[in-house]
Amino acid sequence: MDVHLRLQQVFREVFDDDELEIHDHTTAKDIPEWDSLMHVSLLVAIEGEFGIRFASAEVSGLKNVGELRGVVETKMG
Amino acid sequence: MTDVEALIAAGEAALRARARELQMRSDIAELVRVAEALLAGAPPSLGRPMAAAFLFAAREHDRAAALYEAWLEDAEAPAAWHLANLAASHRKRGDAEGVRRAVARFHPWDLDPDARRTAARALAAFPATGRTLRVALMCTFTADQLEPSLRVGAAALGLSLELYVGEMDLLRAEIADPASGLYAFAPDVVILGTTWRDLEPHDPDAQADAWMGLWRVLLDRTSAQVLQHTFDTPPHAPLGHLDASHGLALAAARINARFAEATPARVSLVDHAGAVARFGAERWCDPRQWAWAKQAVTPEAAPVLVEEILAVLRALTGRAKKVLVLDLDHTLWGGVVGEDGVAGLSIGPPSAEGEAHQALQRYAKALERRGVLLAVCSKNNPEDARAPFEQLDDMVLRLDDFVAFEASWDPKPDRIRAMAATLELGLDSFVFVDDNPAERARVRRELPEVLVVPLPADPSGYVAALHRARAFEALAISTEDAGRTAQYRAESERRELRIHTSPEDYYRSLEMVATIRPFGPGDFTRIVQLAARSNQFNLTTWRLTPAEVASLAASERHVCRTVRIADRYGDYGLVMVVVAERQGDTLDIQALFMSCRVIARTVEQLALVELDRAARARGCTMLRGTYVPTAKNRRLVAGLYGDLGFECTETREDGTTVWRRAVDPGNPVENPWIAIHREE
Repeated sequence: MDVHLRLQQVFREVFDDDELEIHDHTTAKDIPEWDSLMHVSLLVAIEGEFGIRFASAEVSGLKNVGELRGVVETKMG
Repeated sequence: MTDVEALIAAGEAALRARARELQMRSDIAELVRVAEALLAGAPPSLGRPMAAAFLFAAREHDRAAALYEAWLEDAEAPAAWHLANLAASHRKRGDAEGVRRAVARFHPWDLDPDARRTAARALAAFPATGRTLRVALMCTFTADQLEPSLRVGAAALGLSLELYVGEMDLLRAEIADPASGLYAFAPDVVILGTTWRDLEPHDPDAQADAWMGLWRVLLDRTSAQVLQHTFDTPPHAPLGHLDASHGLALAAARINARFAEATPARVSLVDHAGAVARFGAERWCDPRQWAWAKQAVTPEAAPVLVEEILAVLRALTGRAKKVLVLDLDHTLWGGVVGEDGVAGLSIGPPSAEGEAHQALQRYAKALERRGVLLAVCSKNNPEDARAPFEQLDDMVLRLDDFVAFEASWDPKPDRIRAMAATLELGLDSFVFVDDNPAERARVRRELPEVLVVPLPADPSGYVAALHRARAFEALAISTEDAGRTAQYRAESERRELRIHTSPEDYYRSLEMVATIRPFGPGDFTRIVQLAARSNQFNLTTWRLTPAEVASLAASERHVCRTVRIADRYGDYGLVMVVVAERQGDTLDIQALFMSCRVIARTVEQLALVELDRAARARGCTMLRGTYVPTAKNRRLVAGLYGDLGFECTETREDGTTVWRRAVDPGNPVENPWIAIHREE
């Protein structure tokens, strides 16, 4: 199953928008609700979806969805 | 096998994963096809909700909602994720009432945080109805993740929430400032959400005073109920085991005790520390989430904490239940009294099943002591239903503990309706506990106001199931509860005594009373159970059968006694059995076994007291005992007869020893610590 589609599904559930489309260049600025608290919810949901665990520093400097997907794919091996 | 048949065989989790995968691909046609196949090919209890889940994923909200609603009529404890789907479907359909109906079915035994988030969003899409409660969350951590569970839980109680979430760093400042947003909000409830991070190891009394000072300010300036979290303890204390005596754990315990000693009527304690302990302190907080956003509670733990807050809100808003209606057969005891007879029932140890039923009785008894009314609703002949309460010593509940006793063959909903009329209470005050799913379904269907507790098949889970319903929360303990408090105090006194006094003073302080009887029919089951279960304190390990017990009871040559023990702290029931046979001028002890629950308090010596007495009454001059070693009984009883003044006269090859003790007609054996009642 495609990592991008799974990520998009997680975004749709966390941000309560089942039309939401994400792209590699999508950033927090593109999704109004994406604040620091929602960021934690998003990370928790992504961890649950992919069965991975982020290190605390790994996710602080991410610039966009593409980089987030990169981390997820690395974690999944 | 078709692909859908394979999915059905793989079960609910596989079906759910498949629906999600198709949803991600937006494969609407396939979602609908699988839903149709599920309706055609799966049993309705699985096919209906899963087909609804597939249709929901396909955004067929009308059909999904209709299927879910049909399923919910029969579903006893619907999974939270199905209810969240239903609430979301109703939201899309614009059906506010449907959303509220779905949310009202959320139960504390399924604490899925994602489902709560979805349901809370569905609720928030419509204007509030019903009574509104204005709740200020003043926490020393980020509290936003509590909101979904709070909203869902409140809606299940028929309440709408207005929430005010204070800034975590400004808690004291906001309470101090009369012009702060907190007071402008005019809260009905202020939750002071604190954690161990707020504690210092030194001077706990000053810290307690400071928190209680905040209560006073809030009570002065608002009409709100203040909900104070008890303090938990850190999962990783640098002082190690000394933390309990020198560190934050001590401070937390001391402050919590100060809170408990002096809670004004308008302050309630939220059992935060208890919730953390039950869930597990290490899982309660994820250190990364604390670092990222000062979240002290993980999303998974948040509903657990919220349950504790809701318990207080339930009491505060008068939602607590008043009557616990209990079934009898397989609920309050194991077995069916009409078929098995009183002697065939299982209640209390040593049977595991009996222990479980007795635990439920004990829980109900505790509820009764703090003012909950108990009632019986059983399909039985009235005299059969009453007999166990009158005849079995191990029943915790007695007939006079019940305000209503309905034993008949009428439908239970009719009987409960009649009870409500007699007691002049609404049906929404009633909680129904019955092991039989069909009876539960009928009460659910005919009396939707009654809270029906979904019991698991195994009686060992009954107490937990009843407890999780949190139906009987009260704001305060009434004066009748003094008895329970005294008992707790006595228990700790007993522990103190054992540590600080001589054995003799300890035995005397227990105020033990023994009841010694010949074998009676009401005890046969119990004797057999004790014979089967006693491994350590058992001299000959004779596993008595029911037939042997009956024939021993009828035998003229045998002395057969049961011993019950009670002390000032409680009743242990039937704990020791002795069987001896007259052989000429010797009384030969053939069975002697005892429950380990009454070990080391001279109860075993009663066997000698009683046999010595029986020997003299029969003109016997000698007692003879036999010890047959097993792997389990060596440690406790290899030397028992020696301790009781017997002399070893024979040692056989297999290790069996034979002991004798002369009977002194002028000098009966006594036990100075246990008062003996004999029933012939």
